[in-house]
Amino acid sequence: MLSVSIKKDVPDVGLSLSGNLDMVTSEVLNETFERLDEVQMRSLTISIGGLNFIDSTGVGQLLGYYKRCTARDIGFRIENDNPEIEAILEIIGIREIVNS
Amino acid sequence: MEETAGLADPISIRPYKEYQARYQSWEPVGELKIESKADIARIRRELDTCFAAHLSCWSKVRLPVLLAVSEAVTNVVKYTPGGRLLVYADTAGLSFHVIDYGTGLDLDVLPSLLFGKGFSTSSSLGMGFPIMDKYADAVTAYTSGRGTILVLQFDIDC
Repeated sequence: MLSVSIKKDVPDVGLSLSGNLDMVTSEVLNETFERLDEVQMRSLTISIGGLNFIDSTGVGQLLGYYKRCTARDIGFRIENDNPEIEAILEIIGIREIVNS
Repeated sequence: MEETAGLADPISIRPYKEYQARYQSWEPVGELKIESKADIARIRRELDTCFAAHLSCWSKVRLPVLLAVSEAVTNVVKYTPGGRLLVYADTAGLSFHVIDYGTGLDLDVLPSLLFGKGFSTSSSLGMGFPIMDKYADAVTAYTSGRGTILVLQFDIDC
C-alpha cells in the first residue's frame, strides 16, 4: 500500500509518500503526479522518508519524474531522512543524478 | 547447505542442467507461486511474517533480504510468463530460488545487466541486479532457453 499526500501546492509543490513504492503501487503515485499543474509548477519536492520499502521500479519512477521536470525547467528534489531507503537510492545510483 | 562453495564472487552464471544435480536432494521449507504483480507484495508479506516468527535477528536482515528477493520476483512478473519461489533454510542461512518459465537470460547483454550500476544500462531489466548483487552473499543464475533459476544466498547466523 502507498499513501501520497500533497503537502504544498503550486508553484512549489511538495509530495509526501508513506508505505511501499514498488511495481505494485507505482500507479498510485503516478495518478497524483499526472494531476499536478506543470505549467504553474516551479519546483517539485518528493519526501520519501515515510516509506517502509522502495525497489528499483520505484526509484526508476522517481528518476522519470526528475527527467520530466528537468525537461520543463522545473526544480526537482528528493527529501529523505530514512537511512535504509537512502542506502537503496545510493546503490541504484540515483543520488549521482538527483540532489547530487 | 554448501551452495556458495567454489563459486565466483558474487554473481555466477551456470548451465541450467547443473541446477538439478546440485539441488536434487534439497527440500524447500516453502513454495510460492509468481503469477501477477500482486504476488510481489504478497510474497514479501509472507516471508516477513514467517521469518519474523522464526529468526531472532530477522529485524536486522529483513530489508536487504526482502528487497533482493522482491527484485528477482519483480523481474519474473515483468519479463516472463510466471514462475515460482522456493525457500530453503538451514543453519548456514537462507536460500531463495526464483524460477521463471521465460526464454532465459540474454547472454549478449548479461554483463552490462550484472555489472552496470543501475541506470547506466538502457535496459530496465538491469536495475534490480545491483541490488541483488549488493545485498545477497551469493547470486547464481542457472539459465537456458527453458527459463532461468536465480539462486539468492544469504549467510545468516542467528
